[in-house]
Formats: sequence, C-alpha cells, structure tokens
Amino acid sequence: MAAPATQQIKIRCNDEKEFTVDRDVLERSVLIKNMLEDVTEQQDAPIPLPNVSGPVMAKVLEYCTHHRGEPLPSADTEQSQDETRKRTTDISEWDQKFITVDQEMLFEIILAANYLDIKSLLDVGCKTVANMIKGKTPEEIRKLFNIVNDFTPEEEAQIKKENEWAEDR
Amino acid sequence: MTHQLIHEVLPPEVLSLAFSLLDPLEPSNQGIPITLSLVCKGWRSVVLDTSYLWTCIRIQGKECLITKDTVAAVHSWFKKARDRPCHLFLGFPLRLAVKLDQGVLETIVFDLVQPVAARLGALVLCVPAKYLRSLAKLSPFHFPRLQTFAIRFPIDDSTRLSDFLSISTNAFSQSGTLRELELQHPTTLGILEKPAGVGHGNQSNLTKFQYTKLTSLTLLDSRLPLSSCVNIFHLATNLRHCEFLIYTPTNNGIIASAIQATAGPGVPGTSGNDLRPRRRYTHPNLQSLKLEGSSGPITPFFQLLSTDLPKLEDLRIGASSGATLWEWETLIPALTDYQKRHPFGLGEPHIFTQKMTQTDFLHATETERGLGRFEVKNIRLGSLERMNSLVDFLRINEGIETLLLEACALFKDEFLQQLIVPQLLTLAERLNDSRILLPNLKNLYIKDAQDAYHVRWPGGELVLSLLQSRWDIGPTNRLEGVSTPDVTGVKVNGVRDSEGRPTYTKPTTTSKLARLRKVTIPEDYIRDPISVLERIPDLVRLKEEGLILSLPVLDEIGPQWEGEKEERQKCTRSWNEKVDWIDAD
Repeated sequence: MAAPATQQIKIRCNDEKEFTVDRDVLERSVLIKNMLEDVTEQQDAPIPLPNVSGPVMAKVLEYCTHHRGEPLPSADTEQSQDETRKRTTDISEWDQKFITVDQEMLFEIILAANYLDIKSLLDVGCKTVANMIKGKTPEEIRKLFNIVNDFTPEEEAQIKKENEWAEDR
Repeated sequence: MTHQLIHEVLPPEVLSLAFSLLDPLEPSNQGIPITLSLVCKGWRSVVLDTSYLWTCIRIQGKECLITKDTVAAVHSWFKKARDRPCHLFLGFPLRLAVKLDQGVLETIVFDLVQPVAARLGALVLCVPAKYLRSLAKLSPFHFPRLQTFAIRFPIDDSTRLSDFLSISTNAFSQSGTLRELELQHPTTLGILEKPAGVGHGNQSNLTKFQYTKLTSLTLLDSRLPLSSCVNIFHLATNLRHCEFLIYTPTNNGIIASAIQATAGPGVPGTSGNDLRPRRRYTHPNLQSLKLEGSSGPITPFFQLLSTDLPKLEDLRIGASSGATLWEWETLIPALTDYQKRHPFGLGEPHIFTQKMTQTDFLHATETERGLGRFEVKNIRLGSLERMNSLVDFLRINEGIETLLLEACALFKDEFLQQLIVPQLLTLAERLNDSRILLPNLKNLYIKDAQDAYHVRWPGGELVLSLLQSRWDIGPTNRLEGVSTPDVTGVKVNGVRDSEGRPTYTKPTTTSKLARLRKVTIPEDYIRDPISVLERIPDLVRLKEEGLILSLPVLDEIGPQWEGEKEERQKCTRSWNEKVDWIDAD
C-alpha cells in the first residue's frame, strides 16, 4: 500500500550530513524506493547512504524535487529504448542548467545517480559527458579530461593503421 | 578526487553508457570507436566492451582501400557488436570502380556482405549496380534481420539495368522483415525517352511480395513503371512515409490504361478523367507523401491513392519537367476533393515544380486555386512575360502562405518589387485590394539566389533586408565575396562587433522593426530602393508613433542600375560612408 505523499524520510550521507525529504521525492531513487518498501514498520533512524556526500546529495535532491511526480521509466520502457536505434544526447533546458557544474561534481552526480539508481539523472550526466566528447579528436578529449596518453607511439600507430580503412577520405 | 581521471572515477559500465550515447549511425559520429579508443588504454578497454559503438560501418569515399584486408577488418569490427543488428553503408566511388577489375569488385562486395548478412539490420549501398550482381546470389533468408535496405544512386549504364533490378527485386523480397526500403536511381538517368524496357514481367515480380511491415518507402527510380509503383503502394498498407519519383512518357492514354489495368475501372458515373478505383485502398498511418514525376503520371496516381489517407499531414506533388495542362486540370480537382473529405487532416498541401515554363504558368493560372504552399526551383526568368505569368499565378492564389524560390534566376528586382508591392503601397493604395499579391504570405524562402541582381548592388541589400524583415530568408542569398554595405537595414540591433559594425541578426518578423527609431538617408540616394522602407506598413505605423524617418520617395527601383557599373561602385562607396542607422537604445 502506497504511503502518503507527505511522509518525511530521513537520510544520512557519508559525511554525516542529514536530509529530511518527502517520500515521493526520495522515491525517484529506485534504491531508496526498494529500501522503503522493504521496511514494514515506521523507523525514525535515517537511511544511511555511505556512497554519497552531503553536497552531492543536495544536488541530487534538487533534481529529484524538480522532477517529482513524473513517471518513472519501467523496465519495459528501458528495454524498448535500448532496442530503438535512434539515440539522442539532447538535454532539456532545466536539466542543462542543473548539470552545468564542474567536472568533479559532474562525475560525483553521475556516480550518485548510478548508486541510487536514478535512471533519468544518470542519463543526463552521461549525455553531458557524451556531448563533451562529441566532435573532438583524441588529443582534445585528453586535454578536456586531463588524461595522459599512455600508448606508446608504436601502439598508437598500430591502432591507426588497423583502422585506416574506416576513416573518411 | 580532483585529480582522478574520468575512467578512474566512473565505473566502466557508466563510462560505457556515456559512450553508447554517441550514436554511430549519425554521420558526425563516424569512426567514433576509433577516436575513443585512441584516447588512452583505459578508454580503449571500455570502448572494446561497448558493443553498440561497433554496430555501424560506413565505407565511402575510399579510393583504393577496399581490399581483402578490409573485408577481414569489417568482419572483425562487427564481431565487437556481438549480437546487435549491424548497419553497413557501402559507397564506392566511380574512380574505384574504374580502377579495379569488375570480377574483383564483385567478389569483394559479396565477401563483405555475405558473412554478415544474417546480422544486418541495415544495408545501404551506393555502388555501381553491376558490382551488385554477386549479391543477387543471396536469397531472402540470408537477411533475416534486415529492416532497412537502400540502394542510392548506383552509378551505372542502362546496359546493366538487369543487374540493378535483380538486386532490387531481391531487396523487395526481404519484405518480411523490412521496415524501410529506398531505391534511388541516378538523376542523370532519370530522364529517359522510354522506361528502359521494364515491363509487366518485372512488375509481377515486384508485386508478388508482401510489404505489410514497411513503414517507409522511397522509390526514386525512374525505371519502375507507374503501375508497379501503384501496386507496391497499395500492398504497403502500413506506410507512414512514402516518396515516389516516377518516369512515364507524356502520353495520357498510356497512363490511364496502366492505372486502370492496375486498379480496375473508374468509379461509375464519373468523368473519363476520374480514375479513382472501385476499391478503397486504406493507408491509415500514412503521414507524408511526396510524388514527383517527369510529367503526367502524378495526378491520376494521386487520384488513385487519395481515397483514404486519414492521417496525411504532408503532401508534396511535383513535376520535374513541365506539368501539362491535363496535369493541372486534373490535379487540382483531386486535391480539392481530397481536402473536402479530410478538411482537418491536410494542413498545407503544396505543389512544387522544377523547370516550369511560361506555358505552365499560364495553364496553372487558368486552373490553379487554393494552394497553401508553392515551391519553384531552377527557373530562368527568360522573359518578362514569363515572370508576369508567375506573378499572375501567385496573384490568383491568395491563400498561399508559404512560397519557396530556389535556384531561380527570376529574382530580378522587378519580380521582388512585385512581390513586396503590397507592403510598399501607401495606406490609400493598399485599400485597393486588387493590387495585393500574396496577401496571406507568412513564409518566403529564397535559396541559392546568386543570380539575383538585388544581391549584387548595394541598394539591393535593402530589398533583401526588407524581405528578411518580413519573411524567413536564409543567408544563402548572399554572394560570397560581395561587399555588404555597412547597413543591414532593419537588422541593426544596437550591438556592434569588435570592429564597430552593427551586428547581424536575422529577423523573422516585423517586430524587429519596433526597435528602429531613427533613419537618416542622404538625399543623393534617391534612386536607391531604401525608399521602399517608407512604405512598409509597419514603418508607416512607427512613423506615426514618432519614428524619425527621413527618406526620399522613389518611384523606380532597380532596372536602370543594371548597366551602370561605375555608378553602382560610387554608390557602394558612398553608401558605406554616409548611411547611418541608429538604434533607439
């Protein structure tokens, strides 16, 4: 039986930061939703979230609050989307503004979305990464993410040679 | 955390998810798995495990890289896609075809396609048709997952037509799984004296298959007879998008016979021109339909198929080389009839035409009514009479809301003047409705107007600006290298670039004019069309509201400028120096 929408739930992050949040907001997270469904009795103890810090959780909750009430993707939906060939990296205006953060926070949000199982937020984060990559050369990508090229010149040349035929000329 | 790398922070499955959003089917993402795997070893490892990235290969524009090694590499590539359906785009340039022995190419194409045929979800071929002969050996069951099949512009000569058709026919036979089918014949071969010997025998081959799962059908193939197209269309009952380019000689008797042979006799009691069949063919999902033919066949085809298209939203009907009087006379009633039966379905049907002659316009003027959209392409002005024919045609079609003029040399300013005359008239003149041309025009598209005079001389920019202030006209109107006066007219928005020039914005509505508060034009530009601004209704209104407008009145615009090169140059210089547009802000 569904709990009243006004029920407040406490969560505790790995830095001891606690949040008291409406249940329907928290249930954007499939992980928390399942946890809450498993609990049969009212508990006052906060739900521990050892993999998420307070600042990141604050951002995640901002997202969940904005999108509260929207239908959650079902397993069927995800399956059909996976089968559909057309993939897009379009991001809505609000989400775009929300996700305009530094790289460190971006990665943390993605990690949190993955851990908390918030599919739509994970999508937004991954689309942002994809958009950052799109149209760039390997060197530009390395520069963007501060990645060191750990290929030897011979290895790099070999990969290029193997795939020479696939380059547009 | 600050200095950790993305692939150290994000688990491989998350990084893989991000990578898989870079759709390899998008041409801009061509070679994306290679790009990503060259970043570092960590990324390469993730990329190799991201099967979706390896589902598409485009081999095109290569000169001499199609070898046996390539074939092996393609198969190795698709192996990384695991069990996902694969997409193969194959485009051999003609120079490659010339260089390589035909037998070699045939073998390569076969060796390339055959081992992966069972995995192909899409196969798009832009290959000389004769090299497709080997593929004809593959029977339908070789492509159990094929959903998209396309042959585009196979470079060929007519002697190899049978090869082309054999692979095409084979493609048709895939129809058990096919969702999208596209056959495009080269444009250069589209205009033939006769339909190249494609007869009823082939037609029967084509129509023996099932097309019920097709949602998109594109047959830009002049070699297919009209009757085959009609039959195929009627068999494909679940279509959402359909496009036909049909070649049929201009012989109405043949066309009528072909259609009637296909669809049965016309509805009893109707006129001889009404070729609607007794049967009602339903295409309940068809949303867009584009029909184009060399001449003649489109109208009866439309009549034939328009019996029940309840979801049709986008209808385009075109003739590529001059519609006939018969065409116009029969098409319009068919359209009108359709619209009566589906008053809320078809928003904006439009007829487009290429290489229309003056006679066409005259015919159209006598018969055409009620168009919402009209497209004209590749028209030479030819004569004033012809231009006037077009203007007359437009004048009687008051309902036109969208007009497209593409690659036409008719944009002499006489024409443009005619087009914008109602906007130039004074209030008193505008009361005379009979002079108004296209009073309901909302969208005017002008593309590839390099021949237009108005872009060649400074005053012409203003005509363009005027048009741009009201309608959507793209930047292709501008000639490369032609100096643009430091006046972009109504587009001045108060912001200047680093060199102090007014920045260009593309107004699409007259609301942009609202910011214009002061215009100063030197008197010696009396012959420039800038004076037309004074007559724009919005400017008149703005003037009444306090706009400071100092413009000379001009009675004649344009023509006399054609032969006065020095004068134009002088004016260009002066124009840049003197004209001053001041934004209110």
